Amino acid sequence: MTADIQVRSLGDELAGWDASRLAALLLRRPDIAGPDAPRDVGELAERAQDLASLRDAIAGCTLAESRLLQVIVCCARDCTQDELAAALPDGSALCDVEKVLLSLEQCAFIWRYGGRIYSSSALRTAVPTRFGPPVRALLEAQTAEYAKHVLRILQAETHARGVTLRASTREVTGRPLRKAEVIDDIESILTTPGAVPALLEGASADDRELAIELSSSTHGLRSAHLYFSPYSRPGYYSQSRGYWLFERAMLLPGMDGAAYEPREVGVALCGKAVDDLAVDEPELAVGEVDASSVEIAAGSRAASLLDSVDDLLEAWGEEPVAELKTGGLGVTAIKKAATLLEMSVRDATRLVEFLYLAGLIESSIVVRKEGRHAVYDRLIAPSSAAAGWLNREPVVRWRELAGAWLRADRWPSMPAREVHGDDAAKRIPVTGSQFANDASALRRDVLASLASLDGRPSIDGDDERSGRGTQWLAPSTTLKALAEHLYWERPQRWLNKNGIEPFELVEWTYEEAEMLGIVAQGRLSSMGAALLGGDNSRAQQALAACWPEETVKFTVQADLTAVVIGRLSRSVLVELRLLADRESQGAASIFRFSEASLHRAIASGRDPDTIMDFLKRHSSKGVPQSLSYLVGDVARRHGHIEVGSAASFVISKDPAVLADACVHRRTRKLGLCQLAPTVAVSALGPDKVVSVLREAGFLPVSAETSGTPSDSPVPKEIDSIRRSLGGVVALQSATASGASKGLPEPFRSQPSAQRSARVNLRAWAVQSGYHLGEQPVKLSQRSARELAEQLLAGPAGRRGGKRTASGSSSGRLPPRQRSR
Amino acid sequence: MSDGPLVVQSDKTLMIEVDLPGAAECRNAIAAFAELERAPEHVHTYRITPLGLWNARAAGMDAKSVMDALTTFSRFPVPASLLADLTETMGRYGRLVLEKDPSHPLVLRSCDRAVLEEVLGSRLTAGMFGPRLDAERVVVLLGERGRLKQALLKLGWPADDQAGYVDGTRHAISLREEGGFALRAYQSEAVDVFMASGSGTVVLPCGAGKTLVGLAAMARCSASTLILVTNTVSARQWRSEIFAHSSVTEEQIGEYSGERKEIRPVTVATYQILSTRSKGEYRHFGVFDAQDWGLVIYDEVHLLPAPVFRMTAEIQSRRRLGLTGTLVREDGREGDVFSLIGPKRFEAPWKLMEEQGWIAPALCTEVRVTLSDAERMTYALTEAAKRHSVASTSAAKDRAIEFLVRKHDGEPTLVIGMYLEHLSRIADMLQAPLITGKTPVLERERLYDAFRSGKERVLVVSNVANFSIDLPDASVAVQVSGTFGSRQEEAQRLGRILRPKADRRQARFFTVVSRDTNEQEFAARRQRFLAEQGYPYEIVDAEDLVGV
Repeated sequence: MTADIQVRSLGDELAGWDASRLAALLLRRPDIAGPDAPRDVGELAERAQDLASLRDAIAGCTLAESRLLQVIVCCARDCTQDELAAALPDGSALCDVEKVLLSLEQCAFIWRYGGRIYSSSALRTAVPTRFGPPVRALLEAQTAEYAKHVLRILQAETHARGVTLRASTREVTGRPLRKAEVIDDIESILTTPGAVPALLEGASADDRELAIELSSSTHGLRSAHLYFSPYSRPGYYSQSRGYWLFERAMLLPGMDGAAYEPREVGVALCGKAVDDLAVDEPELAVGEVDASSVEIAAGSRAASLLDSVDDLLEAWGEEPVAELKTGGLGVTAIKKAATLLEMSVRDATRLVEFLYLAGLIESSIVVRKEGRHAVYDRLIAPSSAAAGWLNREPVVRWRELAGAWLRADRWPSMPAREVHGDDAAKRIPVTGSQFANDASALRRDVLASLASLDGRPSIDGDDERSGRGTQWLAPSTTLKALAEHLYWERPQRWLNKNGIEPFELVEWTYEEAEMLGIVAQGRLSSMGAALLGGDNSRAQQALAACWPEETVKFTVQADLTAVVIGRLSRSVLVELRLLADRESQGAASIFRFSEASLHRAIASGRDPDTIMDFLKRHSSKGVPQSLSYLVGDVARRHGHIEVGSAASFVISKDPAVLADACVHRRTRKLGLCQLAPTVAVSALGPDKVVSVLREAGFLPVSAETSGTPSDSPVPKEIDSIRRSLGGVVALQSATASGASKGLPEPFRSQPSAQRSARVNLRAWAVQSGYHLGEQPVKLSQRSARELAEQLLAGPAGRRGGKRTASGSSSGRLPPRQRSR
Repeated sequence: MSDGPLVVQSDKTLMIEVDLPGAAECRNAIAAFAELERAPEHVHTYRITPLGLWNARAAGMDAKSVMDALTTFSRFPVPASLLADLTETMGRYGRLVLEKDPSHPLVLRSCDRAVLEEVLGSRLTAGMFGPRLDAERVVVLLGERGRLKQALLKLGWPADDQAGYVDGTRHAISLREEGGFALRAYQSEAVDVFMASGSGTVVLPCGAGKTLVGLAAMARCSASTLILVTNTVSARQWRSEIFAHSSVTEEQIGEYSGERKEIRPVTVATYQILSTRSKGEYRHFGVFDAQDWGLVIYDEVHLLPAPVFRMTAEIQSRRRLGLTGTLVREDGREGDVFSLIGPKRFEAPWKLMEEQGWIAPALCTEVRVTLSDAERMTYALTEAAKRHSVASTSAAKDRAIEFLVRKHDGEPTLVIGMYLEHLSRIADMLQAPLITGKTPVLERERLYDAFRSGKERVLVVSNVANFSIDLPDASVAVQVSGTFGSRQEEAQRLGRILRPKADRRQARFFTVVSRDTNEQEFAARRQRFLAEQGYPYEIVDAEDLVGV
């Protein structure tokens, strides 16, 4: 197993490099130059093979470099070029990857000498692959006895199965092998072509199945009990699942308690380390865009954003929104904001996040009393900084908002992300807790890539079917290409983002930047470029240059629409939005007047004259007759029904009595307002009104809102009268009893009145203190037409030990009652 | 920012400021691919729809010319996403082609295998295909041509139908250009565009001479022709027009209606008879196979009933011409018109026709009457479903109607409504004849003739006169009630008075509406199509009518 092979270390390799190559290495891996300069190339080589440094450097590799590294570390150590060529994916040859190999050499990941490709052990550990850890890393955690035990078995079984092992690069010394040498030999056996399948021929079906199952997974076997002790009884541990594989280093315990199939075994069973090398940088298709249109669109976006921010701060300033108990804003609040701002929920979410990032809204606790308890409400409202922000120049306001976004360590689009099923519970509320430490860096990467588009040639061709126009390209198409490109440039950077794909992150960045006016038409705007470069002053100047012109005129048409071409000045826009509903917006906006919209305006305090005056002043082509008519018509119908508040009402059949009650000196404190000759209302409650009226000498009864005298708790003074009745006085209204016989004429002839009379005589009698046996009394009732009536009632007789009564609305009692 | 008259919005609406220079050129440039949505007095709105783009593609436009049209006239930067979207949408048309094959009557071919697989695997096309010929072609079963086109449209892959048309039985027809009659330029253009494609719809305002477009198409095809019209009176009007302006003789024209069942080289059939079911069957569908028709004309295609749609799906090999004044289907089946009759090939905006003098200028007025207190109470207490009827037939309208008719005394006036009792009352009040669905066809024709000849100056008519009735001299229409919010009914009723008058007088259209009732809301909805076509409604109170 020995051969005449020349081994070369990285130090020897670097010693042969000229100064420019070394400089290029340090440029690519600056960490190995510090903190102190290396004393010689030996130390430089040592630093270059440091695991942490390698991991950092690998994170900066392109997709092609990363994939080729995976192929290399899956090959045998110090493999030949032929072995590497055989390990490449189908259809790839060494010449295809030569450029990538040179790049890897330049980074000192690998070095070539004597037809072999060398790499350090640390590199094999540092490069993540789709297989388990390298066998060397796993074996180093095991005892030398175990390693020797494994080597013995492997050598015997490969020999028995006629496997020709790879030639060893180690000199034969005759001394016992050290652990490292044993590991070298085991690694060599496992990377010998055909060795692993040959070994597995001797395995049981279960073990073979387990080996194949684990070969294409980076996950290990949980709860594996794999131990080796030369002193243990034979068969004591060998009952464990996978022990046969363990004895051949084909399944080894890792540091986390799980057992892993070594990478070398996985490669031997699965074939190729990668399916595609992605050697070529993806084409970044670029559409042709007119630079001036980018600026105009960006300026328009920025202006529109500031309008929306103003609207939202104003609305939330007047009515703060409740924060969820778990923090952040709920879907309802965002939907309401979206409706207010006339934008999608997704955009509203982002807008609120922008405000949050810029510190323009904040959460606060408001205490209110609920009964005896204090209730703490968490509300989100404009912060104290918002007032100052609102007073600044628009360009400054934009710069602060956009700058906050650029620096933010969170994704404003994250809460708007669609989540379904079990993931729904993981939805992050708007302004809720989320942290993405590299969000700002990734955002800058995307914007920098967009900036680089200008230098690229635009696509051409007439292939309409691919969705590429002759010169136009959808931002989404550019974004996809951009995401692919960014991922190719630094794949490690875009991985492990909580399951969020690179394209999604690029799309978020683009859409957020587009809302802010940092990008437009698929390109970085001048102000965006200045902001990205940290030149705030130039960013503000750029925005000022493309700030859209404002107009105060719109065109009103006979189909009840108003068309605004361009940007309407804010004060006019606010008024127009009150008068009409926006149907379409963009470079031009269409507003539609309707009965509902004009009602809204009139209810907000506008009168028809003010509305017409506004329309005439701002309509560039007059006001059509149909709209003037509609304004007048709506104004005429407005207020047919008025709603006010009153705590109690007072009704009387006798207008004179009610008029007296309203103007009486002692009832002034009630503030009685007469709505009709027989109806008045008061802002004070019924109890108070009854009490004051009674003090003033009137004889009121308390009634429920239905007009029925109430069965409310009996005041103390009344209670004493009740006791004086000396027994139960049960009164039935003649109508309630349903017996019309013996009723006065008016009741007999008005059955509906009888049915609707719902008089609780007992309560009335008790409350008013009258004794039915002694004198007739006045009762209130509600007639079939829901009008309050009064009737005169007197005792009608006795039935079942209870007194009965009947009454008349004519003001006169039936003869029998009068005689009594 | 340029001074162009066009504003392109990212929601795919296009707005043209008609008063700006270049507006007319812009309108011509975009009309080929964008649908006119509304055309009020100052800013016209168009919408780019997939159907519109596919129509344009079918007419030979490519994405580049569409983009050029937009960017040339646009005042603001055209949203890049919109340009890319329309390129992609237009690219969908023509990836599937229906064509003839030497050994099969009809095959579906696609150069895009993924699209073909998607279509073949769709539930919507199940049972429409025969054997697969190769990776790019599949046989389409006979009789499925129309339904397949409908299905493909729904799937978003409209087929380019290159399978051609049968010529039908040859039957020479020529137009008689005498007595000052000649096709107008727009009519000739419409026929040219139609003949170039072989199927499609021509949209012209009422009164702009759609019948003549049909006649010219017949002459160009010179083949046996089936004409489908809305009712018998309309059928007879077609007959008269054909006699008057073409070489077709009386023996060569047949009427297939409730009264007669004649199949001749030129046959005029009514939708009514075709839609009539007997024992669960459409027994009159045989008319479609009664002759080897070379051309089928669908008059008032916006009213095409569902059974006729179904039958049309089976006659896709024949040339089909749809005619309408308002391609507004209240049932939203514009897509079926596109796939079964054919794409919109020609459209002329109403106001443009008016400017050019092809239709009479019209002034629309809404007259609001106030219900009496008793009527208001009745209306308030009426259940919701019947309120429209109460509002429409209010006695408060009578005085206004009478005033309007008397005011235009001497002018041929139509009083149009839908509630027969109310119309009967009005007819008595005005002492004018009443035409309803119950009026025998002969009596109807007699009254229409009397109206045309000037013997009758006022006709009270029900919905039967909504469309297809040619009363050239009618210049005043008083609409007393209508079918709820039907936009096309309002437009069609206005169309009755739009024939240009010899003395160039303005047509007057009055719609009498009860104030503070749901009729007022319906009226606003009904007027929307016309308002969007540039017919502003003046609103007056009945009390102020003296000034009308």
